[in-house]
Amino acid sequence: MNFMPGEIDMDKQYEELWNMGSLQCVQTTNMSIPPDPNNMDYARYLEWKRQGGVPTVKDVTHYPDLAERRQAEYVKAGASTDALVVALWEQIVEDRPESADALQAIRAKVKLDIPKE
Amino acid sequence: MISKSRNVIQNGNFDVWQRGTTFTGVASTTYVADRWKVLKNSDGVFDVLQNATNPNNASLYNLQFDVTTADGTVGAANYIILQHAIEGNFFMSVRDKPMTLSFWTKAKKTGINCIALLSSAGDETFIAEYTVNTTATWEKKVIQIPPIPAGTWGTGTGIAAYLRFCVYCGSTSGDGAVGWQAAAKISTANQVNNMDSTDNYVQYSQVQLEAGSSATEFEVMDPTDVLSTCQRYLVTHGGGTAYDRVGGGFLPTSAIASVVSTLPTTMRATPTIGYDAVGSWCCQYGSNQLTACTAIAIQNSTTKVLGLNVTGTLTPFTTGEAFFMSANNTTAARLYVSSEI
Repeated sequence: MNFMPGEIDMDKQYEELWNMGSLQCVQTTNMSIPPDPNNMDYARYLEWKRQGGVPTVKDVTHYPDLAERRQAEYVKAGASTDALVVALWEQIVEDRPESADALQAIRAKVKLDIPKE
Repeated sequence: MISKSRNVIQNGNFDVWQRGTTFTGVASTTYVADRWKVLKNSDGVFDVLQNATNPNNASLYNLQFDVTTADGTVGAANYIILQHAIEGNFFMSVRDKPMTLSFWTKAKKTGINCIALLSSAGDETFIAEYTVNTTATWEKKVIQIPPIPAGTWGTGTGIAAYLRFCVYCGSTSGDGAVGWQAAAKISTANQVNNMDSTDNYVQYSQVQLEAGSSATEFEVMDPTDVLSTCQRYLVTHGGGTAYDRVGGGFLPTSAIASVVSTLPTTMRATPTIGYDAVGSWCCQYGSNQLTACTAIAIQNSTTKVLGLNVTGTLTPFTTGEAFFMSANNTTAARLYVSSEI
C-alpha cells in the first residue's frame, strides 16, 4: 500500500473494542472501523501499529445485569455496603433511624430508575 | 465486475458532493467531491468549492481550488494534489492498453501544469505536462498515455492506480520526467506555482480516462447511476429532515441497541462509520419517545448491510424491545458510511 506522508498519523489514538463477543472494532473519536483488510481505515490502522502505535484494548463483552447496575448506582449515590452496615448499627443498637431512612430513600429511587425488566 | 462506463473516473463530472459543497482551509487527506481527495503539504491555504460556471452544458458543476493564503516559495517537500483513486475492478478496462485522459481546466495563472498516473504500490508513474494558455478561460486538454510498462498495480477491490492533478509541487516529488518512470513522482520541475497569489484559482471539469488512443466525447451519465457509483464508496445519513432515519433495530441486551439498515448498493469493502456529534443521533421507541445516543460502533456489517451497535440512556428500554435510529431533532446530524480508497 502506498501511503502518502502524513496519511499515517502516529498521534492518533485507537481503541480496540470487543463488542458482543464476536467482532473486533478499532475506534478513534467518532469513528468505528471494521477489521476488513480491504477497508482503507483498517489498512492505515495496521500500518500505524506496524510503525509502533499501541492501541488501548477494551473488553466490553461483559454487560452488567440488573443487580450490578443497581449496585453501581447505590454506590454512586452514597448507599455503599459500608454505609448500610453503619446505618443498620445506628438503627438497631443506638435506636437512631435517620441514616437508614436516608439510605432507604436512595435505594427506592435507584430501583425506580432501574426497574426490573 | 466490468464497468459499464467507458470512463474509469467516477464522478468525473463532479455531480455528487455527499460531504458538502464548500471546504474551507482544506487539510491534507480531505475528501471533497465524492471520489476526489486533496493531499497537501503546504503553508498555503485554500478552499475547495463546488462551482457552477462550466465549460459547456454537459456539466452542472466543476471543482474549484481557491487560494486564500498564498505561498510564494515552494519548499522542496511541498505539494498540493487533487487525487482520484481508481479501484482495480474498474481499472481492468484500461489496463494493458493505450489510455487517453481528457478534461477541462480553467485557471487564473497561465503556464505548465502536470497530471500523474501512479501505480498503487508507488513504483511506477506516468507524468504529462499541459499548458494553461489563457487566464480565466476554460480549455480542454487531451493526454495520451502509452500502455503501462511496469510496476505493481492492484486488482479487485483494492486500489489499482491514482490519477493526480498537481496544483504545485516542490523538488522532492516534483523532479519527475514526462512519460513513464519507475518512481513515485507528482510533477516535472516545470509545474507552475498556482498558490503564489490569493487571486489564483484552478478549476477542473469533465475528467475522463478511457481505453484507446483518442478522446471521445465526455460521457454524461444518468444521475442515479453516478450517485449509485459514488455510494459504492460513501453513503451518508442525515441532513434531510430533523428526524432522518437510519434504520430499525432491537435491544439484544438492556445495555446495547442493534441497528440494521440495508445499504443502497454493494459497497467496495465493509465500511467504516464516522459521525460529527454522537448526541445528534437518537433511538426512538414506544409512543414517540427519544433517547440520545452516547456511542455508535460498527457491528456485524457487510458490504450489503450496515450493522451498528448503539449505546445511550437505554434504561427506558426492555430487552427485546424494537426501536429505530434517527437524527435527534437536527438537520446537522451526519453519519458517514465509508469504504473509500
